[in-house]
Amino acid sequence: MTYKKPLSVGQVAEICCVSKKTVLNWIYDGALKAFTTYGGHYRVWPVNVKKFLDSTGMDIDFEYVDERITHILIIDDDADYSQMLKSAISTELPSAEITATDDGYEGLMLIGEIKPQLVILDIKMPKIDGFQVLDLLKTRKIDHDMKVLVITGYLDEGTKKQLAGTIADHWMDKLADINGMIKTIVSFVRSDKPVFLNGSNN
Amino acid sequence: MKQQDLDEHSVQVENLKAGIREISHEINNPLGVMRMAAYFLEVTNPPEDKKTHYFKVLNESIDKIEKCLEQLKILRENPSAASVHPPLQDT
Repeated sequence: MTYKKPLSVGQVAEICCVSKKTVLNWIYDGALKAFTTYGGHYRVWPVNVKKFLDSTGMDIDFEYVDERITHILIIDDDADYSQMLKSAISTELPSAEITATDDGYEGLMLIGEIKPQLVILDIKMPKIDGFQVLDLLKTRKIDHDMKVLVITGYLDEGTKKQLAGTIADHWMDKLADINGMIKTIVSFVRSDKPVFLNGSNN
Repeated sequence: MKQQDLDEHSVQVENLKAGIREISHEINNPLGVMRMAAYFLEVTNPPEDKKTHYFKVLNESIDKIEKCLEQLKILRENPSAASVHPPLQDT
């Protein structure tokens, strides 16, 4: 059987020949990556089951197709910049769904709606700035895997220090080399261990 | 120099630093846009309409940088004008 859709705890338990409680413990320990549904139930993407089986050395045949759609959300008030960034990412990730907004509040709403794997966030924006967005995200329960990459023209030492205290995973200067920037973005959505090119990482 | 003069001078220097910081950041944004537009012109061999768009974006960014440079010129000629950009730590 080839698995494509997210699996329930019961299904994972059956595949691994263990109890549901054991699977839940793997999830609680962080060994098995899962997300929660609106109803509060755990679900596990097949790719994460495979990763878990490989990391633990469990000798179980498990076939899957990774059908996760990559969603990327760009929050930047500079429409020209975000449109070009969107096009640049599309050339490397043609199947990715990329949404752009120039409003931090709308961005917060879209995060709940489209559940992006990656949010690319600007700092200086009207209405609500990037730091405020990061603060609000910190207090919110995000029930899906999501990374936050800050791309800003305001990346001085003070800003970097401030960003280090937020939930941002990485930050880059808007002046960074575009190829390096795109490689970093691609690695964020394709891998659990992103590569950091140009700019500092935390 | 009297203490009061020194204090005023110190506040002015801090305001000037904050003003320069603000303007240099303001320059970075259009530069980032220019880098992106240049990337597309160089790498993607865009059709005519896209090319026109990228050149428009480049020109608009140049205008924004020009405005920032004008602000810098004002600061150079009148450092007290920097007080319109108070240091962030004071806000």
